[in-house]
Amino acid sequence: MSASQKILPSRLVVIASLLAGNGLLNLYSATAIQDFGPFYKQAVFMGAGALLFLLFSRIVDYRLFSRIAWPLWGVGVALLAAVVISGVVAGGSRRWIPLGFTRFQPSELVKLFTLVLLAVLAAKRDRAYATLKDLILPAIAIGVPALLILIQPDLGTAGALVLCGLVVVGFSGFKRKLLVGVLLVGLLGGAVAWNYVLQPYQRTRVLTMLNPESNPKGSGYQVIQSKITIASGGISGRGYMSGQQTQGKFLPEQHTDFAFAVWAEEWGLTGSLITILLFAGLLYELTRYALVARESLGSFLCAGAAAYIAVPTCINLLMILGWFPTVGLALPFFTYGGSHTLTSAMFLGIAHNVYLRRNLF
Amino acid sequence: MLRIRVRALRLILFLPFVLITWRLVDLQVWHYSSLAERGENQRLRAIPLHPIRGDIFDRNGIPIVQNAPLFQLWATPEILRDPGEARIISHALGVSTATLPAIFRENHNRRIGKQTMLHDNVPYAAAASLLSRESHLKHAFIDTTFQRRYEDDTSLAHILGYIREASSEDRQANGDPYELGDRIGRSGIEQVLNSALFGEGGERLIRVDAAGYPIETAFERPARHGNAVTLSIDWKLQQTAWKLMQGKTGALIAIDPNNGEILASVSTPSMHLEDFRFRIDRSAWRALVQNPFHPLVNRVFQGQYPPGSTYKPLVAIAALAENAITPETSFTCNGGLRVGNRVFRCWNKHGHGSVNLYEAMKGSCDVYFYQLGLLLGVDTIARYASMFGFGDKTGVELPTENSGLVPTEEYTQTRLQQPWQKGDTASVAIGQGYNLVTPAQLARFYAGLALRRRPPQLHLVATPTTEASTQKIPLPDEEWDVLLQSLEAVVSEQGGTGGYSRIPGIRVAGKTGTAQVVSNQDLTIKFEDTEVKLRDHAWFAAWAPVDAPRIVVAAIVENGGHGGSAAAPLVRRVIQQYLEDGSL
Repeated sequence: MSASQKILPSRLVVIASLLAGNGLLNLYSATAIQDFGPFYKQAVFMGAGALLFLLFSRIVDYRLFSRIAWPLWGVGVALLAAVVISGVVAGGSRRWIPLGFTRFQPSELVKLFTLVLLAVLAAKRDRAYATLKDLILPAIAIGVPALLILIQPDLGTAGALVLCGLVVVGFSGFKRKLLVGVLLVGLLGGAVAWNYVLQPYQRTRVLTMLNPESNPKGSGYQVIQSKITIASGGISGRGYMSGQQTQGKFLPEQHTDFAFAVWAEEWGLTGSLITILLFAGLLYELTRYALVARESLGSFLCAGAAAYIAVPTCINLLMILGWFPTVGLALPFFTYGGSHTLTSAMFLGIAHNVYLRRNLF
Repeated sequence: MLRIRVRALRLILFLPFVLITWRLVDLQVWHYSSLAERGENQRLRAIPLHPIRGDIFDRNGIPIVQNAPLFQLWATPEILRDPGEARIISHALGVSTATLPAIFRENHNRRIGKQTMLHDNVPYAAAASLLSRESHLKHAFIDTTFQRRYEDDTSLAHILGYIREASSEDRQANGDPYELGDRIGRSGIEQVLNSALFGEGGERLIRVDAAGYPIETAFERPARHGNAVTLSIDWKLQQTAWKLMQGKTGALIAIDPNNGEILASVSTPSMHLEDFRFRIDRSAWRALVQNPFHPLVNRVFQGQYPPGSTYKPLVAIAALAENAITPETSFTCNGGLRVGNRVFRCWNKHGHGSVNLYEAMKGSCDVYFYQLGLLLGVDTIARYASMFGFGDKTGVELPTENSGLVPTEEYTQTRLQQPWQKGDTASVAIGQGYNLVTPAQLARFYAGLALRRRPPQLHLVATPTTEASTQKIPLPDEEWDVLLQSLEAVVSEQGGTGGYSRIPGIRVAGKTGTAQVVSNQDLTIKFEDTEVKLRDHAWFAAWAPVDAPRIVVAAIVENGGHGGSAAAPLVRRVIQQYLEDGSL
């Protein structure tokens, strides 16, 4: 590393800090009408996240993961099994492990472990997948935790895990035959899942997204209020702390799933687009890291980190914009919650470690 | 190779961002106005602001009708699911929480959106306690409006009229003038002048949160309060007239002959306007409707009676103006007159002897006027009757008024399907038969008599621009002199029928009348023996002072017997008070 690089913080750090700032500022407004508890906790989580970022970017060598990927994954799966057996029930599903002052959602950590394992597997192989047999290990790596999460039940997180996994696996590349086969199996699986795996309330959510006005008081309420909230921002926004949909509590889940709607109402299209650009910038940097990584494990880890951020971001935003079914997926940097905040920080730290080590060995 | 894979990765990751950006623009720019308005609507709750109804004053500025605050309780059925709020509400209403659903059902037709008016007159103390806990009420609120407060809710009840809650049809009228809970005039002056008295409703928009708790007032368009109305009524005179009419069934009206302003108007029996303040209860309403004396009817303007002898001056004017007679023309009265094959009696069965106009008027000789009638014919009498407003509404500012009946030959032929008979004309000439007049019409006629011209329209609202009619009646002054002197003689001279209306120091002219209830009355039955319902109606109409008329009074006492004894004393007292009070 040259001296100049040391003086200026890297772009990824700047962008991530700005996003964290956005998220925290927004959380303050979203919690102003009830109590600031979540805001202060989130500030602590972000502080802890910064420390984890430093730990994983500067101290832990990412190559360590190639040795401990399977054990980590095993620990994650065990935690999930523990949750399924004896976790805390909230909102109709078992997702959390109580930790005294807060509770811990292992599915986020498991996502990280699974993506790391997939990266390690892909790096070892380091060529495009050609046959179904090649996909057995990745399928197990994704399938086992995904099923355990689905049992909780948490369709959103399970789906996000599968999508993130597919991104990392896909980053290896597929031979054409296999790709067609996988797509066919995917479609078939989707049809089966719709009929036999999805709970009736989950099907209702999908149908509600297609026509939220069919049930404006019930399942459509959240989406309608979210759309009204976002639209009310207009181009310039209502002003910070002045979102009337937000401050009147019309917007549901405003410090969690629908936090970005608060941002969109108060800062308008202008603020929304700036934040979207920051997200895009963050993903651009992560993919750039994948490109400049010294070896393939680093590339796959960075692709995994990009997927880890991009998948829930896109699903959450499309959901609150009314173009995706209502699923409880956290928006990185914006949604209140320790598990995903800390896990994101770790993953970004790992990716940044890859970047910092691109010229060293 | 890696570069291509990274490009593919970027493509997959960034594609959703294109969609997201597109959708943000779609919502925040293209759908901004519709969705923002939708949001605004759900965040606002409209509360109607009721205008304060205009006060009503008498001609001297004495308040007759004013307002007192009225508290209405509104709530949505959600209070039933909120035990705390249900307790506050039921406590204020003095009922148990279990009866709240029944109260909602009972008022199911008094709703604006989800809000139901649970009580239209919350007692002051309960309203105060609810208002002090307003911030705890998310599904209920107290609406402050106004109710009428009457100085006296009965003496002028027919003229004032009552106000009632606007019906849904009223509220859906052009321009949505009323909100649920607004009260509008349903009869009398309250109805006719409703738009002035009502003013214009306002609106307050309150910003509420998703749970319905009020946050702040977002917008307020204040109500424009109603205008005060000054009536031509003289409140003290009204009270005097009211007291005089107590115990009697009938009507009394006093007007200023110069401009037609009504100074007093009494119809007995009357009703209590307070009974109409809220939903009048069934039994009270039935009692009013089934009362044989019809207290809901304003006899002054709706009561139609044969005018009896009070009509004779009109027949005299017609005869003089048509040159059928001169004041000196005499007829002999032998107590009756044969017309065709029927004998028409004079009220004085001994006869008046030979009488001219002056004597006939003073003694109210029927035979003399039978003769005039036969000379004129019924259609000529009708022509003069219309000059004085008979057969027409008086133009008063009231929603219901009857126009009486001026019979003509055509009338009997077309309406009654029978030929006109000479005897009918004789009856009409003494104010009996088919003639029907309202007390107000009679007063108006006497105003015309007093001023020797066509009478003005009648008014209840004092307006400085009310112009007196200047249209003359085609009659020479000397003849007018004789006629009016004869009417003064009715009151002032020995032998006049209206002696009971004599007032020392004030020149009064007038005419008694007796409207027959049973036309073939057997005159051998003495008055006291007659069943009350069969007794004649007693009329008296008069004005004073004779040379500079300031007041005309007409009174009818139903089944009162003779006008001279039953009605004339009432008229005298009213005239006396008005003129003596006015001279102070």
